[in-house]
Amino acid sequence: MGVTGNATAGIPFGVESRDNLKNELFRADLDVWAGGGFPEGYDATRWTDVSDSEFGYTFICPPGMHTGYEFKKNDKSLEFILLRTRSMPDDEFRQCPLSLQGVGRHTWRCALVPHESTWREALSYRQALEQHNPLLAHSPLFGLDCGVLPANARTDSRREKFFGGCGA
Amino acid sequence: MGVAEPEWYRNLPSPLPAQASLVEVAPPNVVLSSMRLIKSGSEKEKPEYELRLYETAGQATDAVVKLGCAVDSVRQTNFLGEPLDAAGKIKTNGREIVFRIQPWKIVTLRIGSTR
Repeated sequence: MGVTGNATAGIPFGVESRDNLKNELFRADLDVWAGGGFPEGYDATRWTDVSDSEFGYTFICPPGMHTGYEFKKNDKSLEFILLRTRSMPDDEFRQCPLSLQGVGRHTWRCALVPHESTWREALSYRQALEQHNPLLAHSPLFGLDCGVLPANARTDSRREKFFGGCGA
Repeated sequence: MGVAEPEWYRNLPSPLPAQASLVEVAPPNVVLSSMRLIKSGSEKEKPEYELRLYETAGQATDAVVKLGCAVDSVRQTNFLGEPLDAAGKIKTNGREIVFRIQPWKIVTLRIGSTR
């Protein structure tokens, strides 16, 4: 098994093929593969997909983390780059806040979606959009701050019904 | 909680529906990018809504938009809000809007509505 087929990148308002990396216009500007680390690396925004005509995988990155991907055809593997910093002189780097240096506790929420046929039928674009924009309930009156309501949240109270309806 | 109840909250129509929907878009390869209320200058004039939709699977399809309000008029506009006819005929029955959307196209609709 493994990941085989053609690589596709989700971009704002569309998708792009990542089959021919030599054709990537801005790839030389991004040091994703600096030091020989990611020779088959490429960029995408919310998601990337590798699939043949029958089966494939869509990977949805953590929101806003457009750090880079690599599809290794020989290894049949897809990599997502978790941390990436700008290249800069060592002394400048040390002056950066610790969070910019990548120091600290990191938590990632991402999704791997196996699917039949291709990203078109799997609706990868929409899945990534929904993963990054979950339906949240917000009500300062109920002390509910961007929490997710249970799907069956509903009571007899007229007011709670109103907000229950929003979250359902 | 320390948050005062706003005036509109005390004057909600009763009973409220258990479920309500502002806008629904189908099929799933068509997504809503934005929806905004365009306030009219005077009280007498009706408000308008601007919806921006786009196609996300590279496949031409019949887009269906269901609104929670009545649709009095609908027309396509460009990004500046000027009339445009690129999407072809846009049909409506007063609740639903149906039009043909081409692969990857972004379509902006201006909808006139009674509340």
